[in-house]
Amino acid sequence: MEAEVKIKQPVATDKSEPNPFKILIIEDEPEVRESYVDMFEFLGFKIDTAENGMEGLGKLKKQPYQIVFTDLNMPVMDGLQTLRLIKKNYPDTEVIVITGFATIENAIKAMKQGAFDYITKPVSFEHVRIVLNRCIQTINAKKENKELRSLNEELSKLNDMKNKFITITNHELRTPIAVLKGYFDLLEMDLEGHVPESVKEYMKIIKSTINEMAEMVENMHDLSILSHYTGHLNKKRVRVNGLVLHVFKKMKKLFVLRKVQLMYRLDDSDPIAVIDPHKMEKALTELVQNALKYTKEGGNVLIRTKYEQNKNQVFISVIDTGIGIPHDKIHYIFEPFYEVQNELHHFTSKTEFMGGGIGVGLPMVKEIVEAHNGEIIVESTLGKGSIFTIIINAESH
Amino acid sequence: MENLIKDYESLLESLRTRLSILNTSVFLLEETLESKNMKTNEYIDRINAELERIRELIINVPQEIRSN
Repeated sequence: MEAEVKIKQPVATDKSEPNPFKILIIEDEPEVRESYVDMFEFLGFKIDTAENGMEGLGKLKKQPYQIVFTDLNMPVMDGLQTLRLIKKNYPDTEVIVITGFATIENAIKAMKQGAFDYITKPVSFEHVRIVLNRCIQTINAKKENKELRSLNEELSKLNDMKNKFITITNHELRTPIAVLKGYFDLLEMDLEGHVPESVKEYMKIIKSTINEMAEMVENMHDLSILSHYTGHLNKKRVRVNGLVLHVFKKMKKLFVLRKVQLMYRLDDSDPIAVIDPHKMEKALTELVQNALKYTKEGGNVLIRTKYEQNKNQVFISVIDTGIGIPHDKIHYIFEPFYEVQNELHHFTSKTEFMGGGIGVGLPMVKEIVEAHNGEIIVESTLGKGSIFTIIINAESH
Repeated sequence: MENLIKDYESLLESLRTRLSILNTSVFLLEETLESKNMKTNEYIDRINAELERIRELIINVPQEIRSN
């Protein structure tokens, strides 16, 4: 084969870092082959050579090459056949064909069959450099795309899995737990009055455990529903003090049982906010319940409302004298399944100090507050207590 | 993905703990009851059947998710 390698003005190449791209040159003419080798090595690439398509494919089988330069007119196996087999077996490898002016039609055929580009003889150093750069950019872009696609797939898988496990856990467990609860109520009625103390004790444990399981599954349900329709809030004009009083009355009995004092302090201006009252009540109830859970007997919990006139915002704070949150864990408490007692110690009971729960309550509060374009902030001192504050916009005047 | 599986397993662990409390308590309750009428027996049997259903769900669900 006749070919002339015309080296124009060499372009400076950054040789400080080894080039990660490996190039295979398939060319039957030894001298031409050598001239290509010199040229690519000069540009800082690792080069391998093959005398024909067959030998080239053999080399590709042994190790990957990112780029293959192949002549089109060769004995044994021509360039087009070589290109077809490379693209079929190694689709990530880019192939650049080298052709004479006389066979430019073949080069176009090659492009149709997946070649990255073609270079005409006599080969110009500058042209090779430009085509190579473009080829490398394409390879890098493809790689980045692939990584992004894989990341997207991973995220989508994660999301699917999250939804799936919430759905399965929720729907499939709800029924047997409800049935269990039903039969237990019947059993309780059946045994009422004439049973020894030990039986009463077992009944009490069974009842509280069933309730815990039901609550866990219910919380999962809330979380899965929230992630679906936080955008569909049924907003109304709500007197924030009224909402707090409602939660106070609802929760008071539980606090009496646990011998923890529940108090409230309401802002005199009686602020109004446009919110979904049911969801906000759920969020506030969760915070109050949380405060109760982590406050020892004899402690107290205060629910406070405050209207900030300058910012036209309402602050609803739940202040407890509980165990507090370790400083380094404060960022995790809104993560699903995180519970402070995981870090301290854990025993299971709904009514006891630090009992029960699987850690979906606070993430739910965050979801609700953020769905209202609000903010939730936490201040806490280990051993002294915590303050959870919901900040929402007041009705505009 | 690993974290999610960990979270999921932690949830299952919580459910398993409660399930085992329930199993033990129901067993002890059954043993402690001196006289049982037909209805009591029926309710306890039904409770045990539901506990078994929950146990199967807790065992099968993670396999389903992992295989998907």
